[in-house]
Amino acid sequence: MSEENWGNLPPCPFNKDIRADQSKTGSWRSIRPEINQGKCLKCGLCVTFCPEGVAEIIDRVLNIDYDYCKGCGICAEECPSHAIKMVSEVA
Amino acid sequence: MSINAEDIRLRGHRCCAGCAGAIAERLIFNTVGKKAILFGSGVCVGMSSGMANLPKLTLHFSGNGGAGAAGIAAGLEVTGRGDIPVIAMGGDGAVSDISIGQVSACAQRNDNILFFCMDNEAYMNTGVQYSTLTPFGSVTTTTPRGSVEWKKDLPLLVAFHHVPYVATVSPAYPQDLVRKVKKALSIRGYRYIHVLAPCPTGWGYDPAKSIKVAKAAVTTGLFPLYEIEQGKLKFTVEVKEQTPVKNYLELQKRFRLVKDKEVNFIANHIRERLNQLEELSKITI
Amino acid sequence: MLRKFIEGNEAAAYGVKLSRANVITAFPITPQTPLMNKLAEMTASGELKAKYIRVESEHVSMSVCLGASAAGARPFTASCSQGIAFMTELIWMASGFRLPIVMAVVNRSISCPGSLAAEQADSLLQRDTGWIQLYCEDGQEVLDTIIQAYKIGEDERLYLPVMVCYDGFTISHTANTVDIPDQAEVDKFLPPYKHKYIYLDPDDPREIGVSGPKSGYAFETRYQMENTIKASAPVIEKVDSDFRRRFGRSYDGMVEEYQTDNADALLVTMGSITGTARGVVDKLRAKGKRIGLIKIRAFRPYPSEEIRRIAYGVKTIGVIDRNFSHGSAGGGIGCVEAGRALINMDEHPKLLGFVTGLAGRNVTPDHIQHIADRVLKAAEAGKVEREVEWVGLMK
Repeated sequence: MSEENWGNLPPCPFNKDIRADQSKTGSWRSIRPEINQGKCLKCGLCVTFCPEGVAEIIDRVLNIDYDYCKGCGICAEECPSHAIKMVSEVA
Repeated sequence: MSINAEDIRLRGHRCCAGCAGAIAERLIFNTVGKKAILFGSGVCVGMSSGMANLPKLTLHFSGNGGAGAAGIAAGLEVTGRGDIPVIAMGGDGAVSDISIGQVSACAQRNDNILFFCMDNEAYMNTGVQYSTLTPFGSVTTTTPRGSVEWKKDLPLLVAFHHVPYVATVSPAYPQDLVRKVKKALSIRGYRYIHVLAPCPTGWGYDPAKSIKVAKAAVTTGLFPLYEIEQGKLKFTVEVKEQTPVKNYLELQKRFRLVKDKEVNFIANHIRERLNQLEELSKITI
Repeated sequence: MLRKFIEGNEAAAYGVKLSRANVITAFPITPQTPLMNKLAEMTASGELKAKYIRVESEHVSMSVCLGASAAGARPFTASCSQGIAFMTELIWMASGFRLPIVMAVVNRSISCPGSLAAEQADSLLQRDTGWIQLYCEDGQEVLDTIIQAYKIGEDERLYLPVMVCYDGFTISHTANTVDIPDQAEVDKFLPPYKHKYIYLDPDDPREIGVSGPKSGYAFETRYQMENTIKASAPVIEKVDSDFRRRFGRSYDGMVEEYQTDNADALLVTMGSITGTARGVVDKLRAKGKRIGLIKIRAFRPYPSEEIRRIAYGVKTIGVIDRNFSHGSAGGGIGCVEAGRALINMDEHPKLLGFVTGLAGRNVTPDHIQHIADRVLKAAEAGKVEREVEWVGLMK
């Protein structure tokens, strides 16, 4: 492997690519949150408590970014109106 | 309250599913914003880079007590950028054990840093080994029969360095946490925030229960939420009805070896410590 | 320009002041303490505008220097002996992060057994780390070398930290007349510090260190560092010759040859022993003995090419080490390094190792004379009877 192939190793060690979201952690989960939009109060508790930051309320709709959701189940556990159910992830 | 799509803390980090430390860090970084410099790493999350889109310098655990952050603060001061906040983070292993000397010295020198101890109550990233912040009765790989020592009271220890601000926070109380981070950011000098970070992997509970565990720690009186500003201690979350500690212990596999009579032992300890804090709140530290 | 009669530590303090170091981390350790005390006075009086941080250990003093350097400051610290050992972890990080910190090492033996006085094993302990190491013969050289060290380390082709080493007590606590350059002249020689790559800036967020997509490239990063420290040799030479042009003094870059013309035998020294050896060499030359001296100024990067060039045609070389490496291949650390530099020459001199002056034991002209006699005898006989000799032990 020659130096030209080192993928632009910087002259001194630093990383500008501070983007953790290059690894799509959605592949980790075995259960996924299923949202009942009708029951959802848009209270935002799931948005606050998600360790991954994948829950977002946009135009009064709760969206989950399933590319990164690890299926921990905190959102379902904390939802005051039981609008979220954890279901088995399909293969 | 909700955190919006401009989340500083990026998805795809390598913390376990349900990591409450990650929840706390999201709240912290979204409050801190983009104009800050990060030093060190707290909770296992620090071992994966890309935690937050901030300029970052990390040393090893032995350097995470804040010394490097003090250096950054000094460097910013002499180059006329002293208005940029320096955020330092360390896990309980780094902060309470290997680098405790640095915590003490930075506090005594009143170095201008905001320091977070991300306390998951053991050396989690290396596979759950005992630390001096591991609570009584915990099973870890180095205490397979359950630990027999009490957890250190690190926030009080720091408070007795007479620093401008000390606080305890739990991710189950996000408004309290955010308010304290905002307050700390508005103060100059050494500020210390102790964050309880429940760990489903190491504490042994279903990841979905992370917030319930983080809440129970507070309602049992084991982890009271307070702040000490200029030496004046004030409880910030009033626990109207204290819950029995047995409920908290039963939630977690790490306490499976705690005998019934030891539960009373723990309950007494909680009572004593809360009394201590009550008495301290009447004077200036 | 000022001329003062001052001790080596004070000369170092002037070097730091003239270099406009702006973050000083201070933790005392004999025999470095007067240096830190002098810097405390200079910062307190405003003579030096710097943030002076009283750290609680040497481990911390280098941590703070790292943070400060990454944040754009020009830090300085000093240590030796136990302190250098304690600081080891961070010394490795400083070079790994490519932060051009300058540290004075007031060489002192590490216990145990040890003493508070001169021995070079402490800085040499860190010779593998990627720090540039320069060894000084007297107070003037210390002052000048500190200024040069910042210029070398901060060269944008390098960005490496530099140790400026000088013998404890022998140099640190003895006084000489020292010429102190004008600040204005030093400012023209040494511009303000700004790292091109390693900095902490919220407007351009970088994570410092090997991480992210490049985290598997530690091996390649080491190779890069190796190439960098090799590339520092011509920079060391150039900075020294630029220094001579501006200030009228220089130290011949990486090594100094003294009376080496037509030499059959050479002595190799590093640090204050050089001064003593010069006198002995002069006396022997006056008697017609063909002996010369190599003074090693830069130990890292090791001046292999210079040593080979000077060794050409020489019969024996005696390396005088004020250090040791227990169980080494033969002699002190300098001797082993010289051996590697010389071994593949078509014809190379025989090598004799001498360990002397440990734990501050005074190295006298008689000791050097004894060493020189041995080296000359081996040159005459064409063979080495004794590979290593420890000189100056009590009878």
